[in-house]
Amino acid sequence: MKINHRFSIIFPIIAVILAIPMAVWAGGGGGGQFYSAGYYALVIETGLVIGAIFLGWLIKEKMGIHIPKLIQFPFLWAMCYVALRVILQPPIPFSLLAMYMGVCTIAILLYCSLTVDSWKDFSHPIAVMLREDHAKAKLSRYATFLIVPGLIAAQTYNQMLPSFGEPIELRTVHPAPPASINVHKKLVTLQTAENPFRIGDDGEYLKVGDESKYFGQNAWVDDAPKFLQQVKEGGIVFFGTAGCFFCHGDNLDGKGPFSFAFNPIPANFADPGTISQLQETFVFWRVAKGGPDLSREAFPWASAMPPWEKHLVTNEIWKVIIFEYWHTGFFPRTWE
Amino acid sequence: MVGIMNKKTTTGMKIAGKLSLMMLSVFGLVLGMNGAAITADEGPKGVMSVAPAPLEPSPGTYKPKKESSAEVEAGKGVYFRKCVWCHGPDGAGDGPSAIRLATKPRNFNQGTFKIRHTGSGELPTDEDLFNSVTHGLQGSVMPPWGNILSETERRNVIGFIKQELVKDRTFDDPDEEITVIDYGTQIPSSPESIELGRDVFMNKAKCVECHGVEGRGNGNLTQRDDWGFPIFPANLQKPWNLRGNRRDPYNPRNIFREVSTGLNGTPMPSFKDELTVEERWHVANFVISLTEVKRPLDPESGKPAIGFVIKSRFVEDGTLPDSPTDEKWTAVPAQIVGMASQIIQPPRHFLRTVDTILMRSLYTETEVALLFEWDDRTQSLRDENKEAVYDFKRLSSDSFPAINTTQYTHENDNKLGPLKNVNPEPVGVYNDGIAIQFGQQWETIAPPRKWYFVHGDEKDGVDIWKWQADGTVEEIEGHGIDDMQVREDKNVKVTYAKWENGRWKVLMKRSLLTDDKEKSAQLVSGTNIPITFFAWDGDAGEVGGRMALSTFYYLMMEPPIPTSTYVVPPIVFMVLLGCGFWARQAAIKYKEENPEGEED
Repeated sequence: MKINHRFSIIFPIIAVILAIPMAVWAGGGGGGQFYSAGYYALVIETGLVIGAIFLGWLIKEKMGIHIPKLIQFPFLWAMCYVALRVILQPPIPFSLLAMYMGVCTIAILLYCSLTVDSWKDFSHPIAVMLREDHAKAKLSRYATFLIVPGLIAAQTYNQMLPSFGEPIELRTVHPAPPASINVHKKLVTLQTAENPFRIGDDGEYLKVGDESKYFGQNAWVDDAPKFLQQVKEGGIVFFGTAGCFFCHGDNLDGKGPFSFAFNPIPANFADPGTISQLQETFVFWRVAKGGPDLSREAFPWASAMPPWEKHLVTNEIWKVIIFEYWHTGFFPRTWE
Repeated sequence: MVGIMNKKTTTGMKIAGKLSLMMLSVFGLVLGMNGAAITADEGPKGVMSVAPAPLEPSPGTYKPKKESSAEVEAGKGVYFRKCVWCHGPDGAGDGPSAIRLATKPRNFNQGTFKIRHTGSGELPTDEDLFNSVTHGLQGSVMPPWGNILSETERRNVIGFIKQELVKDRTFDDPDEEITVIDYGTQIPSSPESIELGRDVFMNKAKCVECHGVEGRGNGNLTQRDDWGFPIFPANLQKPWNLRGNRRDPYNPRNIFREVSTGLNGTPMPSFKDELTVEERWHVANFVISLTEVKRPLDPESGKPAIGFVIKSRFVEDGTLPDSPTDEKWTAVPAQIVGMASQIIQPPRHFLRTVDTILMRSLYTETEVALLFEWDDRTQSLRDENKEAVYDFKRLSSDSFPAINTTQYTHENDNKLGPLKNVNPEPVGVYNDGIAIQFGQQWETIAPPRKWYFVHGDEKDGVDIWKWQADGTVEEIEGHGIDDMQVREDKNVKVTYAKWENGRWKVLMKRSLLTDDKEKSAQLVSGTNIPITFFAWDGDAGEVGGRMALSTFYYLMMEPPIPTSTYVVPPIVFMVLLGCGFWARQAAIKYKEENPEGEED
């Protein structure tokens, strides 16, 4: 069976359309998580493309309707646009979209001009529109001559109209920490410091990972294990003494009642991209020194995070860190 | 980057939504369906709804579900992970957070719940409790748990609250009558209905006595709730802060429900017997109409979405208005500035009453005008002997000791112990106030770098323009919250300042350029100028560093549109038209030269 050349050129286009989300997916578009929604999108997208080809084949071969290349052109173009703009997630920046659409346009033009016949199919209506003097050609000529320059002029106007958006300022969320910090007249070396309240039932230091048995347990019972006692005291700091929840939220998800007013927004500890990617000592530095001690790329001038050493004692800071990991069910990153 | 991280979680749902839309539109095209044939069920006035419609129990006698002991036990687990921190281990509303909150966490023990579908004083339905947990209680710190806890977890925790924490009443007591209200037939909003509702609001039901003439909650400010805590009437012009709005604040159904049931434990009574169903719908429509601009909501916060660029428009005739009623202000939409409490440095403050400011700005070649409008139930002027309406009284009742915790902190001595007062107590009433802040040398500081947003830092000073209710206008040099100097300059003028019906309107002006280029900010058009906002409510003990504040916004004085914008597009049009005619001539010529051949 001879494959219609019309379809042969569509295959590279499909490949391009499929390859991009595939790459985005593989590149960890979901923050290192399995991006299942993206997977379904891919399957459905593939189905749509195959469906469109099948539809084209049906119309051409079975219904015997000939669609001129000139009409196919905008249809294919729109299909590519929709795929890149709407279906592809997360959305790609405009510059990339413009580049991909450029490639698609060339590909579709190639497809239209593949043979002399198909090029004629494409260009003949244009030539007739430009040249002939019968009523139909005249009407379409006048319309084209008005609409095309009109649209481009309107677009020019839009482009020239000054627009004033928020400046794009890229902020580093987790800047490099200092080697050591001085909190309440004591030197804390971030490489070696340990959370003194990370303790097991025997009162000894609890290895990271071993605290999972306390996750979801009730810290408020009278005979709670030592670790959970620290959790409760940390929770009292978070909700009471310090009032962290006003910004970081009752679920530690950065959606506290003040969060709507802040830019940058408060950190979301429930997100796998924050405290679970950081050492406890990094968090200790962030809590103790707050926004003003951030390095330049993290915008110390705009962060509303207080330097908590002004309001809390060192032990309270360590305990609130224990609480944050317990509540979110994450483990701190370790140096190993 | 932070923003992206947060958005990711919802991407999946967005894709699903977009895909289904895509599919629909594709099939619509294929089948030649009329677009109008596809009508989504939007629910009543669901235009700006950010949440699915809440469950509504059916009217009439209601029998609560009796949860199994396994469900109650599972609910207890959820409670002690998520709820105990505010509601306390015995559900008495005395968790660790309670000392800092003015709307106290609910004390479950009495079985008194505000937001219900049931008669005044009656227990709530399971649906009501489920909705409160799912959608949260807006305007308080109770967040919507619907995205966090599974449906089963939410139902279980309600079971635990009903059976273990409500102690003075029992849900399966045969003497407990629970009757669900009847919404009747909803009357759609119309000018007539709103007018009838206004009459009910002002005269028949006398809502005006507490909620104020314009509904800003500035009526009776001396009431207390059942637990002895001071309570203030709701500001109906900020429906996104109403506890029972179910994240659908412009829906009159919520208002109808609350007017019908009253809020148990508060001075808000039920009007089920005083007002007919029709009258209650009219008053609900009237209340919703009080919010003139139905702003789109931020799905994360449930409050109006915030844009961080404050746009200032150029005034062609060169004169700035002197009052807020001037027509020129209609040219600029009011923009919302979100305000938080200054909890960063001593004196920390948690209970700001100004949570949003409405901003408008106009400018000429030489001068800029800023119109601030913000809701404040009280007009406050400094008076040492007058008793303030809010402040730390809000935190206390006879049974809840009157410690002003917002003032207390450890004294950096690295010793645990009782909290100590390191800041002077507020005494009496202070001045209301508003201020904006620019970097003194902002134009020399390369973005994105800025000065510390809380009144600057040692290195980079700030220029603060501050107005106070006693008429003081000051230009202040700030190098941090502890280092503030009032300067001699008198460039800033306040030409209008008036408090009316729970709203301040203050009109501030300054010349764009001043003589002191070092100490005062020089403003230019066409650039994003970083700006920060501050507000004080003198009846909430707010003075100095005890204040409401924003983070960085930008003031953009939009330059007038250049003439070329109007000239170039017509030229483009003409040139393209010329090209078209040239192409036509070329096509004709080609055909003449190749009469037999194919084109191209």
